[in-house]
Amino acid sequence: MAKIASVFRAIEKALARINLVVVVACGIFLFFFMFMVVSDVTGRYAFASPIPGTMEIGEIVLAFVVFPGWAAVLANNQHIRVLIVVDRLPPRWRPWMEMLTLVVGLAMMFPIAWYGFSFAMDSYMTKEIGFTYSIPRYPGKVAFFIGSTLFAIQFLIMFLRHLFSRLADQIPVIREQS
Amino acid sequence: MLNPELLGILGFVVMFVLLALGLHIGISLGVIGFIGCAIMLGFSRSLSMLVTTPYYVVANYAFIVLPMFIFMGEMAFQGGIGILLYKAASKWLGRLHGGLAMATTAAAAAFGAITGSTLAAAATFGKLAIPEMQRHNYDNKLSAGVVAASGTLAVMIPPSGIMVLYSILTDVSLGKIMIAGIIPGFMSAAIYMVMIYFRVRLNPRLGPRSTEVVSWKERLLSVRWLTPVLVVMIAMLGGIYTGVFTPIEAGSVGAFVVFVVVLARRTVSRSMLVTTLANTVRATSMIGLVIVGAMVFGRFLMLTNLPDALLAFVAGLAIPPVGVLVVILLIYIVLGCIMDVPAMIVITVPMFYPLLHGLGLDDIWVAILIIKIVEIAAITPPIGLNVYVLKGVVGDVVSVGDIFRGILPFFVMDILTLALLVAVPQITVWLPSTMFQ
Repeated sequence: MAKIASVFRAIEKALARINLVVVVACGIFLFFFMFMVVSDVTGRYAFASPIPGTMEIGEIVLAFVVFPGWAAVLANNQHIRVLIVVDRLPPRWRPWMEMLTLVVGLAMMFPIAWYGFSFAMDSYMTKEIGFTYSIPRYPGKVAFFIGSTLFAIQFLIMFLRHLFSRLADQIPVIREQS
Repeated sequence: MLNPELLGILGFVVMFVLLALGLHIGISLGVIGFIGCAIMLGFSRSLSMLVTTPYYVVANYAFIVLPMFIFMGEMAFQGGIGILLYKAASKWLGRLHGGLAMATTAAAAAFGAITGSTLAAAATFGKLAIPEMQRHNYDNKLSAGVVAASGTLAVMIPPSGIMVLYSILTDVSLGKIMIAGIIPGFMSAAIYMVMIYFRVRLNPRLGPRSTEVVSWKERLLSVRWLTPVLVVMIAMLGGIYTGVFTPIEAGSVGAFVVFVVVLARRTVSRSMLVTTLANTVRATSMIGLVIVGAMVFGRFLMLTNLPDALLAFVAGLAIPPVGVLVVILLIYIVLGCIMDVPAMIVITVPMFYPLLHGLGLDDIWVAILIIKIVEIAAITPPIGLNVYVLKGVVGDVVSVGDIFRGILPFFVMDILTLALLVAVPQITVWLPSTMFQ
C-alpha cells in the first residue's frame, strides 16, 4: 500500500510540473492581452480605430486564465475553504474529511470534464464564432475542457494518494488486532 | 415535491454543513446548486446547466478586470512599490507621536490604491514597518495591530478584487462602486491615524517620537516615491470618472501603468514576471471557482424564489429598511468570525442584495457598506486572515494573541466608521453621483 501511495505521490509531482507550465502559459496570454486592451483604448481615442475583436479575444483569454489554473490551485491547497470546524476535529478524523472533500470535488468535476469535451467539440464542429467578429469560440471551450479535466484528474490522484496512504497506515494496526 | 422556499432553506442548511466539513466553497455551492436544480428542473437540464454555466460565467468580458487588478497588485507587490510608499510616509510623519504607525496606515492606504489585496499589504508592511517600529521601541501590540488593520484598507480603496466580485454577483456598476469607495476608504485611513495620534499622545510609551532629524529637502524629495500611486490613480480612476474608458478597460490600463512604473524602476526580472503571472493566474482561478459555484447556487436560489419570499416576509415586518440593513450588517460581523472575505460575499450577497435592493436602498451605498463590513472580517478572530499572514511574516516577534489585542482599537474605529457611513449616506453616494454618465 505504501508503495502504491508513493506512486501516486510521483504522479502528483509530475502533475505539479504540468500545472506550472500551464499556469505560466496562461499568464503569458493575459500579459499580452493587457497590451492589446491598452492599444485598443489608445487606438479608439487617438486614431478612432479600435482593435477589432478585443472583446471576443478577451473572453477566450479569460477561459485560459481561469479554468486551467484550478488544478494548480488545488494541488497547492489554495481553494477557499472554511476550516474552523475541521481544525478542531481529532487528528485521526482529518484525513477522512480530506478524502470526503476530494470525492465530492471529483463527483462534481467528472461530469463537467466529461461533457466539457462534447461542449468544446460541438463548438469546433459547428465553427461557432463571436457575436460581433468572426473569431472562433472553440479555443475558450477547449481551455474549459482542459481545465476541468486537469482539475478532475488532480482530485482523483489526490484522493487515491490519501486513500492508499491511509490504508498503508492502517495495516500494522489491523495486524496487531488480528 | 417540497415547497420551493423550503427547498431553498434546506439548500442553505446543507451548504453550511458542507462548508463546516471543510469542502471547497466553490464546490459546495456548485454541488448544492446542481442537486437543487435537479430536484426542480430534472437531472438532464440541471446537468446541462452545470456544464455550461461555468464557461458562460467566466468567458464574459466584464470578468477580465479581475485578473488585471490581481496582476496589477502582484506587480506592485513584487516590484517593491510598498517600500517606497512607506519610506515617503515615514519621512513626513515619523517625527509625530506614533508617527511610524501613522506612516504605516498612510502607506497602506496609498498601496491600496494600486493593489486590491489585503494580504499583500499585510505581508509588505509586516516585513517593513514592524522591524522599523521595534527599532523605535513601539509597543508590539500597536505595531502589529496597525499593520494588520491597515492592510484591510485595500479592500475599500479601489481597485479592489472584492468590488469586482460584488459587481459580478449583483450587476451593480463596477465603476460607480469603485468611485464610491474612494472617500470611505481614505476616511477610514484618516480615522485610524487620528486614533493612533491621540492614543500615543495619551500614552507616549506606545509609540515614542523618533529622534531622527529629517530635513525639508529630504521630505520634498521623498514625494517622488509617491509618483507610481499618483500615476495609477490619475490614469485609472480618472479614466473611469471622466468616462475615457470603462472600468473593464481600466483594469488593463492600470495593470499596464504599474508594469511601466515597475519597469522604469528596473525591478522587473524574468523570474519576477513569471512569479507574478503564475500568482495572478492562481488567484484568478481560485476566485473563479468560487464565482462559478456562486452562480450555480444563485440559479437554484432564483428557482426557489427564496429571495422574493424573504423580501415579502421582511416587508411585512414593521422594521424600516435601514433597520433591516443594520441587522444584516450585524450578521456580517458574526459571519466574519467564521469565514473569510470572498466566502462571505459569495454566500450572502445573492440572498441579501435582492432583499436590500427590493427595500429601495441605494445599490451603491449598500455595496460600500457590505464591502466595509467584510473588510473588517479580515481582522476579526478566529479567522482574520490578515493576522495569520502577518504572523507568518514576522515570526515569533509578536504572538497571534498580541496581534488580535492590537487590532481591537482599530476594530472599534472601523465600527464607528461604518456607523458614520450608515448615518450619512452622502459620504458614499456623492462622488459617484458626479461621475460621467
